[in-house]
Amino acid sequence: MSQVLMRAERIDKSFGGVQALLGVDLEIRRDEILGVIGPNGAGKTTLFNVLTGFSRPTKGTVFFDGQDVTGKPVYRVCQKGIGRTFQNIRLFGQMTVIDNVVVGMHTRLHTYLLGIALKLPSTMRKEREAYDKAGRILDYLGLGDAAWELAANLPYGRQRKVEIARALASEPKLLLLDEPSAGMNPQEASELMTLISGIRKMGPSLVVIEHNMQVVMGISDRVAVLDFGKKICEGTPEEVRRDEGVIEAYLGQEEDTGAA
Amino acid sequence: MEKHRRFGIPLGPIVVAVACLIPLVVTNDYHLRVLVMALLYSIVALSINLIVGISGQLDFGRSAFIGLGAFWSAILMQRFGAPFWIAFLTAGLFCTVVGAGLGILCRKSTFDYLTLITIGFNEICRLIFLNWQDVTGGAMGLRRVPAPSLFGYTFDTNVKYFYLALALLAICYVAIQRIIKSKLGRAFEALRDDSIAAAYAGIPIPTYKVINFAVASFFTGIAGSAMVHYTQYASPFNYTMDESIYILQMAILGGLGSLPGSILGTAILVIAPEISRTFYEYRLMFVGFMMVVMMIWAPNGILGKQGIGERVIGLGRFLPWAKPPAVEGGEIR
Repeated sequence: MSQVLMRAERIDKSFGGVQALLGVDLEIRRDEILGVIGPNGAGKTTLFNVLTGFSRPTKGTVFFDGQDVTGKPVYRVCQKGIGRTFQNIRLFGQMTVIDNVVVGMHTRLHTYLLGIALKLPSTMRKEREAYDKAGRILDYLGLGDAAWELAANLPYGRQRKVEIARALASEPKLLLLDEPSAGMNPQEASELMTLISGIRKMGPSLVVIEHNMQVVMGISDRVAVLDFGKKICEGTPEEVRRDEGVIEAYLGQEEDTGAA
Repeated sequence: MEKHRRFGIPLGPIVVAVACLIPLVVTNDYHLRVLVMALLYSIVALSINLIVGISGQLDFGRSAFIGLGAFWSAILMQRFGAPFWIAFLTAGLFCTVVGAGLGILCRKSTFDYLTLITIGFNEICRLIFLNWQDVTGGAMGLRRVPAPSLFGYTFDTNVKYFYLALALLAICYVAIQRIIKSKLGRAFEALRDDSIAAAYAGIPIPTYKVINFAVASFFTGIAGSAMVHYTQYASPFNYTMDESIYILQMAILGGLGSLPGSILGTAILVIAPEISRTFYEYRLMFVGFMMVVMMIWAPNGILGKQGIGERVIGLGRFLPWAKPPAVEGGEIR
């Protein structure tokens, strides 16, 4: 088994005249946490979209688990073992929290129309197991008490956790978190760090887009930095922290080029 | 992990048992007729709820499927002498196939375009019913459609048909409820609430739209078949878009996403116009007015989530031990 779980090669993505990604190479190894940072508009979310098949790259190839998944539909790519959360939360608002999590198990739950209509024991057992497992995931994330509430009625921070729970439910090999600490206070953010380290022990590799430097530097094994669609640096948190290009991207050059 | 499982009170058998007593009280043939039509329309309302309420697709073409089921069943029994149960079940299967076909056509269309396609489909079907003289009888329709009989027992009176329709509704209700509370139903709801997140959960959206149309059309088809054998007359003028909208209103009035709501909404819209002649004459105006009021103040209908039933009639939240009302304005934008 190769050490590389996902590899993106020379990814270009343009929207009309805007170059969102330019020749980005990225390697995600098994059992690691990769942080992705960069100023606003650097192309981080676009990178997630390209990796998961949501948008087709203008050029370049994406491999996941040894297979070419470039331009495959999202559900195909995700069935291979990718879970994702979103920058602006996307929950099934009118469903209960636990149903949200069980939907996450969609591809792992093998029940059929006949079994459903006749309530066959095997189908009912699988359903029960799914709900029990969803319950365990919710308990782990501290959401056990909210299991039967409508997802839309939860406060923001807990909705983020429901998203993580739903992504975990599919037992992904790779979990992509898009700004998980957005809108959290420092205490919640540090709880999140513990949580992410805990998730890592459960198996999946993680890619985390983050603006909170404390979080990203604290949890990541490696960090990749994007700026204007280009990867300008990659390495351990220490290396990235010292890199002049990165400092420039965040604080600006001495002679400002005008683009903030 | 017992605490995460669902429990329900077996209300269903009680309701059915009470409904069984209705023919003992209501002996007027005309009243019974209205009730039978309410039962049969309830099945259609349930099926449209599956599309609109559960999967969040707007369908203006449901009555075309009633017509397809009705004509299929009527022709099969009248021309080919097929037994009722074959005509009835194949009407459902025929509509499933047509529904799947329609679903395949609009599987990648977004909400508004899908709605337009269903409107077009309704018109196409209406014109076929009206103009395919040899098969559908044209503007005359099909008369003297035989009454159904099962195992040598003919359902030829209103009372007998009442029980047949009641049993049919109960079966369809249970079936649809089971579908909703399964992997399939959760996928439908997921694609309604957020299709992008649903795709990321590994749900192939286009496929599930097709399944949704196919399954719902099965129920519409068998309801159409049951209707035509009851009224014993298939008229091409019954299966118009007006009818589709009226059916849609039944589901909306009762509360989208709520199965008991669909039955309640149908009962109100089928029975109310028959209670007074005045109401009958102005029913479209009343219904139109009601829709405007509801869409503004109670878009979730009577029994929908946070609908009128919960907010106005259900005074439970004022009880001291009740949970605080759900926080509003928690939608994701």
